[in-house]
Amino acid sequence: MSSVFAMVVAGLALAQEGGLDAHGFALGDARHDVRSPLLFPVAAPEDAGDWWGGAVLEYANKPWVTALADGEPQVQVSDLVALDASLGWAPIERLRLSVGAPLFVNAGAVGDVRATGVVTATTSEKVDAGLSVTAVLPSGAEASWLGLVGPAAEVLASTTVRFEGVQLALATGAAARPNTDPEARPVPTQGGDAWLGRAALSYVLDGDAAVGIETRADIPLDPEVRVGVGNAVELMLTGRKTHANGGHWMGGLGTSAARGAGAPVFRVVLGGGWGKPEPSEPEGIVAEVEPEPEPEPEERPELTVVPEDALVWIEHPVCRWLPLDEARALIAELPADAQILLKAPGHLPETVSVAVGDVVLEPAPAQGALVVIAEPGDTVTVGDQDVPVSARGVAVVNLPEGDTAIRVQGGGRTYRDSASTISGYAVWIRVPELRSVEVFFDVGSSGLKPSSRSALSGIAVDPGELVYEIRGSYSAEGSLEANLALAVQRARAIRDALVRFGVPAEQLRVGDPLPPKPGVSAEEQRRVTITPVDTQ
Amino acid sequence: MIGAVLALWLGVAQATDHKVIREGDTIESVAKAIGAESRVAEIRSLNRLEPGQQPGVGTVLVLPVLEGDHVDHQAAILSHRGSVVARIRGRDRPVSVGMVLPLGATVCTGEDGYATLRLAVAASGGEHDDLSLFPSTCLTVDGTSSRKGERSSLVQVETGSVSVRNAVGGDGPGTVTVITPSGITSGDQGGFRVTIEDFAARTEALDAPASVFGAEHEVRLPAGHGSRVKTGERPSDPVKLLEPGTPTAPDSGAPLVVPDFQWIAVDGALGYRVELAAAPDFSDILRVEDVPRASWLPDRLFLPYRVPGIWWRVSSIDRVGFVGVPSEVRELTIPEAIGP
Repeated sequence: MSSVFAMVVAGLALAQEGGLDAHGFALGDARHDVRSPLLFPVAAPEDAGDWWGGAVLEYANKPWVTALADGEPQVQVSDLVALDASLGWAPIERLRLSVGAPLFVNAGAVGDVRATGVVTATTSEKVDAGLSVTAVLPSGAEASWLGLVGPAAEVLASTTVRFEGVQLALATGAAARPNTDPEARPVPTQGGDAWLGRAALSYVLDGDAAVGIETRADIPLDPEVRVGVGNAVELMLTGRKTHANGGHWMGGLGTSAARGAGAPVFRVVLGGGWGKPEPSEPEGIVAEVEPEPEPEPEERPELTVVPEDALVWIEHPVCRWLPLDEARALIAELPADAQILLKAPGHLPETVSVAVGDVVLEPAPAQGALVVIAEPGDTVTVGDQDVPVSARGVAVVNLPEGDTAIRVQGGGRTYRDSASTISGYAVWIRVPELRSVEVFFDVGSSGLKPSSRSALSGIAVDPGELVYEIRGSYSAEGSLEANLALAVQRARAIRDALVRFGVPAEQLRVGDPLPPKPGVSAEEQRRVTITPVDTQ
Repeated sequence: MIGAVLALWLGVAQATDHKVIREGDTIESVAKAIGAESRVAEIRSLNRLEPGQQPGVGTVLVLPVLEGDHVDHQAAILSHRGSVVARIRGRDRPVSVGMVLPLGATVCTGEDGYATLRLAVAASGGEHDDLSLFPSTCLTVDGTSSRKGERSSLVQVETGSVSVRNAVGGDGPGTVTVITPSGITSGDQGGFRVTIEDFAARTEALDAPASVFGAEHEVRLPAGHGSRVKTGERPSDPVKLLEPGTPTAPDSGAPLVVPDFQWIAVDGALGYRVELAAAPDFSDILRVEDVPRASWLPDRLFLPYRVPGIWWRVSSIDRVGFVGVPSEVRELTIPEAIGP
């Protein structure tokens, strides 16, 4: 058969895939997904009992072009007009049946009858998948030029994926046309057995109208046919609109490209039909019940937030922060008195009702805070500013971002520090307690007792940046002059010991002797007091 | 064929549910438990198991997504403090509150960084699982899903420490499984903490039971117990965790004027862990400090003040390093003089 066919193509060279065949458009009912393709059937569950019918009028300018051996194209048929009528029914939810046939108006003949069954194997909110089987029965009308003398079949596996308003439908399969007879027909327009590929990308404009771009390709299995026919591809812009009363309209504008002889066909289709309308009233006998008044729709102004990059805390159902544009749909589901929390970088967070229309978040001042924990009665200076100190000795000040000097004075000492403030953050700074250390001596001695070393070690381990004043005391017993000299000698002994322990000498200052305290024993008067007085 | 390939791709992309195999589990029993008796072969294929082969104890079995399963945003950043970055498809990005983390995303905290992830938000409502990262922690989100009201999350922790918030209120069971270089910890009511140590991982089951897996063995931890699993070895027997000290100062509800945290000392405690957060459920951790005594008087404390409040709690640390159950939570307020 292939050799005979080769002879035919040698003389004529088939041009257009599809030829005179009308497409067998997928009409669908009003409840069918409006984004479904027109050029091929895809899996999509129907309600059991749904039915539909309609017709598509097709015009093609040059549906059959051949070429002689010298390559000169010959237009065999021009200005074809065909009416493709079809009926459909869904006996059960996942099975859809339809039958259709084209009436070639020019030739006055009926073309091949196509009976299709579509089984939806899996279905979900986003993905459907299934199988369609189409039986093609030749009508026998020679004037229709379809090339089939016996039944043929097509099988397509389809998957549709939906996201937002977009649907992508892909189908692949094969056509078995065992009875294609190239000798009986001058040109086997379908080209014998073939692999089939279909794709459609469509977008829903509103709830009941969609536009799309669709393509179909048939790749003949027979290499010789493939050489003669080429891998034809047709591209069509399509649109579909449905009505709740069951009516639906469809239209398309297409062209094709094929390797080999011939010229691209220009095809226009327009059609419509009717299907089982949406049930408007419950079936059967129902008691007359006063209909409940429909709740008045909440007039809720659209929530507009400035700045636009604000986040909104949605407690239900996502329980997390969402950008406002993502959260709008969820907000719309919340009751009008629900509260939501808004925040945006650099702005103060705010809790508002979802019924509020416009919200302008207040910019957060670029300031931080400083909490200085000093002693009661201390004075605290932050930068050049004297800060009030509470009775507990705590000073709180709000500051612009940046580095700040801190000075705390009181109790005979000065403490200096610095802090960096960052917007929205507070720094708590605890001023170290400045306690005096006392070291005691034996009578008439300036030598350190072993027990004194532990008192000094506390300073030696961590002298910090403080300056220590070392002052000797003395008892009232004996010569004042000798006592004063001994007090100074003891203070110097302490200084030298601290230096030996590693305290820098510049942090140690020997001061004047302290006079005896009244009511204090002589043993306790024989001491040296080490007092931190200032920072360097 | 194209449709089949697409469906397979979608299936793999959403195959996020998991089950850690316990003693007595088989592929068949797991499949039956999720209502997928007819998909045993698919489960074997997903997990690269030969026909007839059964997974060992501690194997993390990937399960297919079934009809009715819900996979929302896999994970999202609920809060973050300090330095935190997310590595998504090989690129490091600064994190932001609400940022969605696709499967395979890695979140790392710096030395001063904290972050909390919200995982497996259920389709039916606000049920979810929260997992917090402590400083110097790296975590990869391997999967999250919600199936018939039961949530499931699978994460890998390379370094650092994480804690899973205890499921409270109306939350249904939420299985969170943490894979570490040394072993696996899994719990279905949250309330556990996992810390990576040198060649080991330490688990503390705080408010709920958890299981630790290692070397094809499982050790079940009752609430209030811990276990350490060394690489390649069985997990240690459960160790009872120390009780927490009761906080005594500052007064609950008082303004945080002087940060002078004190609590009752606990016998046997080597130290204590103080945690500060900006949320009462500790989903927004601000600071964690380990201290040797039953008090903490920081010389310098750095905290955000545009927060609803400050909450703190304390745990005891025992002599082998287990950190115990946290104490009751104390609330502090921001002094009025601070702000806005």
